[in-house]
Amino acid sequence: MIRTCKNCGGRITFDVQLKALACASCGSTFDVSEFDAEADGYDELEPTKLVVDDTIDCSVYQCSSCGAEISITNTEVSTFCIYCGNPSIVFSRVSKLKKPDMIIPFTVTKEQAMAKVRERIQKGFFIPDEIKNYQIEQMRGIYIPYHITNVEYDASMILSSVHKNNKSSTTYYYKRSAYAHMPWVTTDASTTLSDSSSQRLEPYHMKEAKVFDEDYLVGFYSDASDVMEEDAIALAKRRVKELYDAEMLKSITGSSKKILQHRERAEVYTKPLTAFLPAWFLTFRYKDEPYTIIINGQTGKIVGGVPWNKAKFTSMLISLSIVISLACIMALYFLLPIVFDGSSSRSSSDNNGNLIVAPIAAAIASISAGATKIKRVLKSISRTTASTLTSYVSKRQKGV
Amino acid sequence: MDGFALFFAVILGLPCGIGVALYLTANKLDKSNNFGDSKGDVTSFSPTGIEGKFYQNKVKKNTALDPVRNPAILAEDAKHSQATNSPQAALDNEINNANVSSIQWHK
Repeated sequence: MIRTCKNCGGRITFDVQLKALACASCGSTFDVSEFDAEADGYDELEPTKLVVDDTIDCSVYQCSSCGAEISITNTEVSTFCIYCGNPSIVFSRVSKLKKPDMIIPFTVTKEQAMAKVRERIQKGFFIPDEIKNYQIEQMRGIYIPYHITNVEYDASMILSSVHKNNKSSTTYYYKRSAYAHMPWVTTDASTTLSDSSSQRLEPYHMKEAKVFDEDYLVGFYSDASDVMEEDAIALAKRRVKELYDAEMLKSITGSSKKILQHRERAEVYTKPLTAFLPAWFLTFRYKDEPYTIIINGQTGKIVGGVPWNKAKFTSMLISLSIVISLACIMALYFLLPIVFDGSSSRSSSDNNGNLIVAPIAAAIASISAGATKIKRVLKSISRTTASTLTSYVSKRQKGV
Repeated sequence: MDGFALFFAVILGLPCGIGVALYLTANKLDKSNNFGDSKGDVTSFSPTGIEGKFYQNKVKKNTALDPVRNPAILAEDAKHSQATNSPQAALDNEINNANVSSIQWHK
């Protein structure tokens, strides 16, 4: 689909700032509605009914590195893969994309997205200087296909948590019953983009969604929807349950929180809608590894994991370890004799045992907490390296 | 005693210090290099959030759970129930389940 200027015949694209179609040659602007879809003819069975094609013509390119396919709906030739940054992509075929029901047009311009990313990267203490000085060139806007599912949810559950005081711990039980009407549960409809990445892009403000018009796509890429409706519904129900359970667990105090019993119902009474939601993809390579940063094209939220300066991290860890260890050793050196001298006069051997066990438990807990934290952080950072971003062995598909 | 105390202080203080330092450095790495770790919550997908809250604290472990109270689900259940209990639905059911040869068609 090519849109040309009505005044000079030049190529027009959707201008995010003006929120209109703009001609690069003469500067003319047009509202999106000025280029409404034209009918393809009359329906054979109902001769008085005009038929409008519900598909969009596009060219499909395939990346030779990660295998991702990307659709382009205008005449722009793609020169690199927007997912992994590989410059070797091959034209695959001409195809048709099914038109979605809704679209949220880009409200964050490319320049604004680049500025946000630059500002965020400059603040990163452990981000290598080569990345801080990187010139952002390869940034592309892509409309990601999503399903929007209307879910009615109702649940009742018994939760437990442990409350500790000086001498003992007690388990308390709580009952939580509530319901929720969730008309805009978004789940990404592309197996190319991993769910953990698309969920981190959320939330999108669905109230600003518009009825789909092909002209919003001009100048941007789009991805094909390849998730079945039944899978989308199952995924939406699972997301709602996860969010609801998280809210219920937050509503109780204590530690070791658990859901012991639950009764839930998640119902979907209408067919999920489809929507194109905007995102900017920035890809770059660092030490021959591809990385991707994604920016929500509506809210400007930045999602991604950036390589870290291991030397800087190690030196900070060693310095902190020395300082804090010295402080702990000095504190224990002065406290331990006082504790032992005090406890030797007590008759109870249990108290002696507790006083010895407490610092040992604290030492084990510290190491365990530190190791767990670093493991979680490294896993989170690796979520948007290109290989996990475009994982074809989608973890979602095992659960649906 | 001094040597003993020093020995124990080092044995216990070193892992404490390393553990705390590891936690603090990992926290700083998270803030520095991990962008946008938060996902949406219930209010991201719902204009009204969680409704009809009935919360009870310090209940017994085997307390009975509450039935469904979501008005939309109850309305749909009632509609479905009416549809399956209507005379037409009963007739449809009978036809579907009946042996065809036993149906007598009246001219």
